[in-house]
Amino acid sequence: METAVSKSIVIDPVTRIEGHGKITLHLNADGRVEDARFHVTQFRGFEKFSEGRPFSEMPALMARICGICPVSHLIASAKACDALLAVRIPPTADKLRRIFGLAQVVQSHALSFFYLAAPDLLLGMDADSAKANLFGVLEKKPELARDGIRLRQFGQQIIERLGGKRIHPAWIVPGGVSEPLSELNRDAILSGIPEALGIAERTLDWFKSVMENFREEIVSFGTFPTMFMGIVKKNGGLTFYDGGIRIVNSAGEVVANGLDPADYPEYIGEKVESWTYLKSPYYSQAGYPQGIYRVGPLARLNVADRCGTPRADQELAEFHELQRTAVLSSFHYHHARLIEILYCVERLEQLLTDPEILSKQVRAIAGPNSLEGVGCCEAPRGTLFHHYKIDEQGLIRWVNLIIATGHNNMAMNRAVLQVAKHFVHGDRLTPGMLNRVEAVIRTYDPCLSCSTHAVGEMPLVIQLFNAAGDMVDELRRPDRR
Amino acid sequence: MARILVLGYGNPLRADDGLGWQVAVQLFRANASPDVHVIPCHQLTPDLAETASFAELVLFIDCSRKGIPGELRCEEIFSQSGPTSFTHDLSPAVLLALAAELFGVCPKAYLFSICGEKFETGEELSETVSNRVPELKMMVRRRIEEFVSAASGSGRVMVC
Repeated sequence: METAVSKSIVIDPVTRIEGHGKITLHLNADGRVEDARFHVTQFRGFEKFSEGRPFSEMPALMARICGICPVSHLIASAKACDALLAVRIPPTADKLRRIFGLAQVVQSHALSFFYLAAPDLLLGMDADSAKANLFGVLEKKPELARDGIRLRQFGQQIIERLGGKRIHPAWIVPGGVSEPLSELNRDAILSGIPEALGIAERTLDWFKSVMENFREEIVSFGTFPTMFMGIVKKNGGLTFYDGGIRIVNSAGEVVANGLDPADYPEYIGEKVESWTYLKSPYYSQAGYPQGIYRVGPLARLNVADRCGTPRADQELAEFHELQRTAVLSSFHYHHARLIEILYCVERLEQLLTDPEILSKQVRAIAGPNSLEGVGCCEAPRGTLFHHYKIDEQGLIRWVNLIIATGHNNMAMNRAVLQVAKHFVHGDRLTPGMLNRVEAVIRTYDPCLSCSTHAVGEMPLVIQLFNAAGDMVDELRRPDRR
Repeated sequence: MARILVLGYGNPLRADDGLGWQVAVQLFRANASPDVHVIPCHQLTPDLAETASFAELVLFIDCSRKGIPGELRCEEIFSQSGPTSFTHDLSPAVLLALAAELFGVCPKAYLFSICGEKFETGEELSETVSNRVPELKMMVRRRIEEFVSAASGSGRVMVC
């Protein structure tokens, strides 16, 4: 008698993402994918080792979580500290923080789109993996590679001008920012706006022109009903700095609106799974796992009614036309990312031409006036929460961080399963299959260093297991960095 | 625009891996020459390709894992084009290739390195590496002076 044997595939490492993870695909006796898991194998423990530190150190400490989006951690952390101080920061400091955050979104989205995703979009999902990188892009469409570099540089240089350095700047402090903006720096940043706008617009045009080539991916790349979460302004406008939490369902209907980020424990649950260091947040009113939601560019554009800047508003209206419901395909994270770049550049210009932007009043000084504070903002990859409790001396006693990539954990797992079911057949992987499984993860642009708060090198693998639990195939790409 | 670019890179929180960063910070503080642009960074990213393309000479400073701990080396770097795999950090040779292919300029370049001993978490260089830093800085300074002398036949550019 022949025994039916199911199998599993493991992809390790997953490449062109920030950090390291592993994918296992479990096949049933018929050789069809039955289950898939995206394992995050890094661990750091920032929440634990910041205990006992003075709260005023937190923004600078938390910025070290990530080299790509330190500014978001700075902002969320400083906002949590503002709550501990119980101060309202000066209006100019508020605007300068927004500029800092927008610059970071530009550089982070540029990295994700041009360096990590563009090879798939330009060369195709079946391209030789040795060419699926910026040099491959350079060979086929050099202007796209050059635009990516220029745009990222634009964002990085704003951060450098405001914060003094590109990575881990400590300019944002509890109560505001440490230095006002100089006229010289304002004018230098403004001079880069026309080029950045041009890049954002032509890249969007190019992306829309090639979208038709990815019909199969659009319907199979994480295209399933979930809720979407993000912060919006009171008028429903897109924002990265502050606002109320809005959640919409897959039909695009508002499920919750104007939720106070400080009350997040009342509506977000955090499930811990044994096979990953990444927590699985869910909308607690819907329970686990039904409370699955997505955050980040796709979610922000699904929850926002408008952008509030002219060119981005035109693009948003077009984006909302993609589907009558919420836009469900995770493939459209790329599209949403480009619209957000456009918005950020336009918004930067608005903020930098504000008559108060050069004001010297940029910091409120106070001691701790509250023992608990929550800070929330939209990081490039989604909603970010920092929650601190301190003692009477101002020393940190407890920390909880919910990172954008964590919010997307359940959705990424479901997306991997959907892609694997669609593209993986049999007990061996082809490069095209492997790349599509990886590419769907890239749409979320996960930052595993951030979300597990990780250290060290743990590249990602795909492993294939049979029904008896034996590994029958393994694909381990060299670390491509 | 500065004619000479000094790029010191590494992770300053990983002991000897922070060599390039630390040396670049010291050179940055000491540098008074408009001809020399010093950048400390964690890693070489593609956006540095344009900055490199503006320079006539690029000096990379890094900690090496190859060799005997404390071993000091200076080697000329040449552009390495063709298939390569990376995400957002590059080797010096690939950065030069990117500068050449995107911006049409491939500057002359050297890599100064000291073989590291400790790569654990920490901000301090090991004694073995630390002892060689003055010599490394001297070599960097000499290379700059030689370049300026050869290019202009006059003047001294002091960076440390």
